[in-house]
Amino acid sequence: MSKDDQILEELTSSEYKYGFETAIDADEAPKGLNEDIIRFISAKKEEPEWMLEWRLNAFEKWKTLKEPKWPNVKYPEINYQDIIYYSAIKQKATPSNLDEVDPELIETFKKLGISLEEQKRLTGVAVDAVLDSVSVATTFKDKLGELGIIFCSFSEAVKEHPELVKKYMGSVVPVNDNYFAALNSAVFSDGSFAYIPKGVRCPMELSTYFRINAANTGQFERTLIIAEEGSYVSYLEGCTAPMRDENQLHAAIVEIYAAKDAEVKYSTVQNWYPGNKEGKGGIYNFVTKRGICAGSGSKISWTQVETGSAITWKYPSCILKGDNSVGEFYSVAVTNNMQQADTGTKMIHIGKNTKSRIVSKGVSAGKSQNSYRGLVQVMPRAENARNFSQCDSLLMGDKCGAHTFPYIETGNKSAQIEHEATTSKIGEDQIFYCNQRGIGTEDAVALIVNGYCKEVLNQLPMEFAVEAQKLLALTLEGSVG
Amino acid sequence: MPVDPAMKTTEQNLRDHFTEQFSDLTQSLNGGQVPEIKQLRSEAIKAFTQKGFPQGKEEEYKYTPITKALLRSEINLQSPAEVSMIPPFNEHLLPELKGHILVFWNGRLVYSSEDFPESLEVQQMDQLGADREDLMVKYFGKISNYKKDAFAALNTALFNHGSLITVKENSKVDLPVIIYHLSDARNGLVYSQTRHLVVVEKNAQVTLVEICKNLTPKQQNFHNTVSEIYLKEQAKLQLNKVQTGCSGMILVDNTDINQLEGSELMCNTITTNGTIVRNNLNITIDGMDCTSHMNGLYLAKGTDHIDNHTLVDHRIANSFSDELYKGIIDDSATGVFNGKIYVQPDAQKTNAFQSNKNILLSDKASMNTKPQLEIWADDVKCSHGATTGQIDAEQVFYLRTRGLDEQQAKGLLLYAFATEFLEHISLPALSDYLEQVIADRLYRKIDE
Repeated sequence: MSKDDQILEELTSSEYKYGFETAIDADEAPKGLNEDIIRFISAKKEEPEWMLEWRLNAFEKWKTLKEPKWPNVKYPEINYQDIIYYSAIKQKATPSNLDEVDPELIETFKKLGISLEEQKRLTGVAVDAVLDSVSVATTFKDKLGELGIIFCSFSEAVKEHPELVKKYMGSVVPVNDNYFAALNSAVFSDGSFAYIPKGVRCPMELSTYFRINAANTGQFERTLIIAEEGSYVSYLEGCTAPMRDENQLHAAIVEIYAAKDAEVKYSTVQNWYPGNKEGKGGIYNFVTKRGICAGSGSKISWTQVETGSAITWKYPSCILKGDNSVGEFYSVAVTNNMQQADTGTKMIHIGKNTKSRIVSKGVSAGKSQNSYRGLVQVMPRAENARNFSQCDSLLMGDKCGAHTFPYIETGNKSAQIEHEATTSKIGEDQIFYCNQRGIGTEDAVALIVNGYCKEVLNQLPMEFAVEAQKLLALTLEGSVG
Repeated sequence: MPVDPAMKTTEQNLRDHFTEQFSDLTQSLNGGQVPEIKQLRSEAIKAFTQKGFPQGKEEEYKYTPITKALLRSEINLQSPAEVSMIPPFNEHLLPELKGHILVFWNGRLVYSSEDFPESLEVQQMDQLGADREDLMVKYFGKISNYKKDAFAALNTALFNHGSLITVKENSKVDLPVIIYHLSDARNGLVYSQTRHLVVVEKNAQVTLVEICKNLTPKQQNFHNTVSEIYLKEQAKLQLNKVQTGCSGMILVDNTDINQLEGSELMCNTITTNGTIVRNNLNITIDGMDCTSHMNGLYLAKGTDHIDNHTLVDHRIANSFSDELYKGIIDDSATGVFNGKIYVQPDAQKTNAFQSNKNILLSDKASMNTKPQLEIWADDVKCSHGATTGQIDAEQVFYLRTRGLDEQQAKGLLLYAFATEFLEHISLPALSDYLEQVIADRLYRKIDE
């Protein structure tokens, strides 16, 4: 630890010694990370003792780990003692109608085709009584409750369903899995918890609910989804609307557990602030996402559309442990200006007759760097494992980069692994064809990119697929011509 | 200082040993009088001392535990003594393959043809005339990866033998230049290093064959070789690396090739055995309209470990590279392939293709492949593909409907899979020899 850090740590912990007891109602913890801060977070959230222990244990592990340096991204050193690890949701002055909202934001909403009502909700405008979001949410909650589905915030789950949380939390992403996972485990703010009982098919996209009841989950989000035998659930995280957030570092964890014959579909649309054109500001999105197909015949499918964040570092993975289980990964990652993305997946084949499919489409424009990094690993006992991977990159402009790092480790002769990748630019003839028919170059690019990403966008729930298409066009605005 | 056999050798011991050896030998190493070369060697040993042998999770050697193998073996780390008596080696050469022959025995030149044509100059590294100094200063160590690769660094710092081959402008060398590396452990395990520098001048053409052989297959000899090859404008080179007699060997082969405008390269590498074989083939393209073909075939069995790393760095526009590596892995053997293609910002209109195909024959066989593209230019066409699997059941079925039994059908398909490699070799004598090696290997499989 450098001298500065030491002084900083002394300062922060000393502040606690004298001031914390009285400041217990404070909405914000002081900067820095130490045991006291973790105790503070846990106390604030009124967590049981075991949860605190778990966090402290994670903190101990974190101290022994090193920040990963292998991703193909560059950013200035993060000072982990200069971050506020807990702050309650601030009550901002709510605008009374849409006229008071930043017109640029409204313009973006219009382009995305977000309904007026939803625009109001997203900007924090008080919603009128007819479409009271709370009551709609409650209706959904009742409906889910009837089926025995538990869907609540993570903090609520810790209190209401400790036996489930204890059993599954950290079982897919162990506390010491990696630097950011350990950090999240120590200081996670909140997130979602979903439990689908045996044989239940969740009647709605959990996203629908989520969109209406989106809570500010903070920068260290933690999600746990448990699908019991024969159940099905589709979950959508994020939102196409641009998310402005003051927190620069986001380190989330998503864990999925799929029992025998269960199916979980997890879709992400991420559009966090990417920083300005010179690459100033923007979110660092360092996420650990992993699912385990624990039972035979289970299936986990990841779909992601990544257009935001200054730096994206995430590898939604599947551990195919159960025989005949299936893992899927569909990804579109678009980077523009100074954005950097290092994303991909891991498919670990352990069970017999396991199948995985990877479709990754990268688009880089401006001065951005876009990397696909993936691992397909076939364990010696994974008889008849089957994998197909395709990762394509599209380059726009001569200042950007597209990179592929696929690792393929095969330990069983009956495995059948195919990997293919291409890199190219948008054909001038294609653009010319569109121009000829009266489509402007910018629209033509959007059209071609959408066609190129179609395979992935088709995997998204319908209403999001439409928005995501528009989002792609929006992200690439100004990248040609 | 010899490593104390009673003490468990560690990587640090090995490292220290070589570092000390360097300070002992500084004066006697050839080129020691030329300040530039001296400087280069001391930079190399510095890089080596800092980096050491690859360990743990080092990305480039992630799948190849070469340091462990070195520590386990009981190689005598002293440079081999002067050859007092030249052992008979004729029986180890390929009789049908005619050309200008150089034979290295445990890293030392023991035979060289004398009938070189005027267009070809071959000199021993340890007997370079003063007139070659300029050439050495200009080319030596300029494209070698010694700053990043520990083995290249070790070689650059400590080599003493090898050859300097130059082909004159506007000439064609009709017969191939054939370099044999023979390792013989009858007088104790051998650690040997060789270094070659090849300059093919403008519009010149030559074929090189490098054949590596372990004469005592049960002994783990360690051979560490580095070749730097320069292809000038419009030069043409076919380079054939034959590693068919490497049983028991730990072999590290670093080949660095630099291509200028309009030059053509065809590089064929075949490996059929080896305790650990690691080939680093690095090609930098520094001119327009270059063509580079890389072909590889590896057949691994037993506990063999065969690792091919290739890198094509496109720095200038309008070039073409094409790569096809195929492997058949049997028993408990391991195959590793890593192919990198870099397309730098200025290398517009580059076409780069890469393909890696593997067949696993046994439950314990494993294959790790990593085809890697890094592209910073937009107007390019690049692709790579990698497959790992078994022989196609439909193809076997087709042959069986024609009356072949299963073993025959599989054998035929494997043979066809492997012999595609031979199409790129323009020397019939070599091609015939390799066809026999492949047939022996794969038909024996059929008989079993």
